[in-house]
Amino acid sequence: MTELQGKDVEFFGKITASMTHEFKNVLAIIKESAGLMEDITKIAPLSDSRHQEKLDNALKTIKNQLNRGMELSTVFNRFAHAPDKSIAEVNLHQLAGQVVKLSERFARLKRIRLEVAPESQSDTSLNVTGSLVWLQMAVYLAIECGLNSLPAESVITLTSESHEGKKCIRVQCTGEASDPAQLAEAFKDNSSWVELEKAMQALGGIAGWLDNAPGVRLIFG
Amino acid sequence: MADKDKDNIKILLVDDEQEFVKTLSERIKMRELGTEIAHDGEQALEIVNKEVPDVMVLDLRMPGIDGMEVLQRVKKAYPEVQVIILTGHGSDRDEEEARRLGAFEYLQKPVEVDTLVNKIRRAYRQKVEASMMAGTFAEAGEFDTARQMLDKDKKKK
Repeated sequence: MTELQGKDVEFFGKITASMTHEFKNVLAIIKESAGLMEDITKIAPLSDSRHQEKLDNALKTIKNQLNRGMELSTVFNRFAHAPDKSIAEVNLHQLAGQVVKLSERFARLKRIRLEVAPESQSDTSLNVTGSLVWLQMAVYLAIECGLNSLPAESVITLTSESHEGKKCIRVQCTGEASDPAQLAEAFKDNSSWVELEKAMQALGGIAGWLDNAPGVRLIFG
Repeated sequence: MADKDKDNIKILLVDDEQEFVKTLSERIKMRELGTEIAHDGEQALEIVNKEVPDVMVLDLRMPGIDGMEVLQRVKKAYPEVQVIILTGHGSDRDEEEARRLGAFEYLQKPVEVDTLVNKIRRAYRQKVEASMMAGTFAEAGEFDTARQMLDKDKKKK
C-alpha cells in the first residue's frame, strides 16, 4: 500500500467514524424521547386500553429498531476506526463476529446464512497482530468467495481455532454445494480469491483449503 | 443546584445536544433525582464553581472546552466529584484516557436510563465514601485550595 493509499483509508475512516458518532447522537435523542413517552404512559395510561395497546406496540417497535440501529452503528463505527492504528492486536473470534455483522446484508441478498461458531474453551486467547483494515478485508473476501460460489440456503460458518500451532479462522460452507474439490474450483474462479491471497500474503499468512470439508482456512502467521 | 432529590444527589448533565440532555434530564427527574444542565464545557465549569455537584454526566465532544478537558480540570480541583462519561463519540483511546483522568464510568450513547441512574447512584455512594475518608483534609482547608485551582486554570486559558 502506498503512502497516498494509506492516507485515503485514513481519511475515509476519519470521516466515516465521525458520521457514525453523529448517527449515535440521533439514535440517543430518539431513544430518550421514546423512553420519556413510555415513562409518561406508565404513570398516566391512556383511558382507552386499545389506544394504549397501540401506543405500547409502536413504542416497542421504535425500541427494537433503535437497538438494531445501535448495533449496526456500533459495528460500523468499529469498522471506521480500523485505520486509527496501523498495527493492532485483535481477537480472532471478535474479528470473525465483526466481519460477519458487516457482511450480513450481502449474505441476505444471496439468501445465504452467516454464522460464527461459539468460541472454544481452549481457544479464547487467539489474538493476532496486524492492520485491522487488512484483517477485516481478508475475512470479508473469504466470505465473499463463498457468497459468489454457493447456492441459496447455504450456510457459511466462521470458527476461530488453533490449527497445527497456528492461529486461524476456519470458513466452512454447508448446503447443497458441499463437495470440497468443486467448491475449491468455484472459489478459485472468483476475483475475490486472488484478492484474498494478496491480503493474506500482506498479513504474513496464507489461505488454505480445509482438509476434509468444503471451505478455506485463513492461517495467520 | 437548582433541583435536588430526596437523596440530595447533585447531578450535572453536560451535553451540547440540547434535545438529548433536556429529555434525559426529564427522565432522570421522573426517577426522583434532580439535575442541572450545561450545554458546553465553559458553562459546566461555571456551574461547578458555583456549586460542586456530586456526580457529573459528561459528553466528550463539545464546542469550546471539550469533555476531556472538563474532566481533567474538575478532577484536579474537585477530586471527590464522580464523573460519568456518556458519549456517542468515544473510541477505545478516549475510554483509556478518560479512565486515566479519573472518570468513574465510561458509557456509550444511547444508554438505558435505568442503567445510567444506577451508575449515578453508585458513583454517589463512592463519592460519599471517599469524602468521609478525606474528611481530615477538608478540615485542613485543602478543599478551598482545590477550588482556587479551578479558577486559576480558567484564567490561564
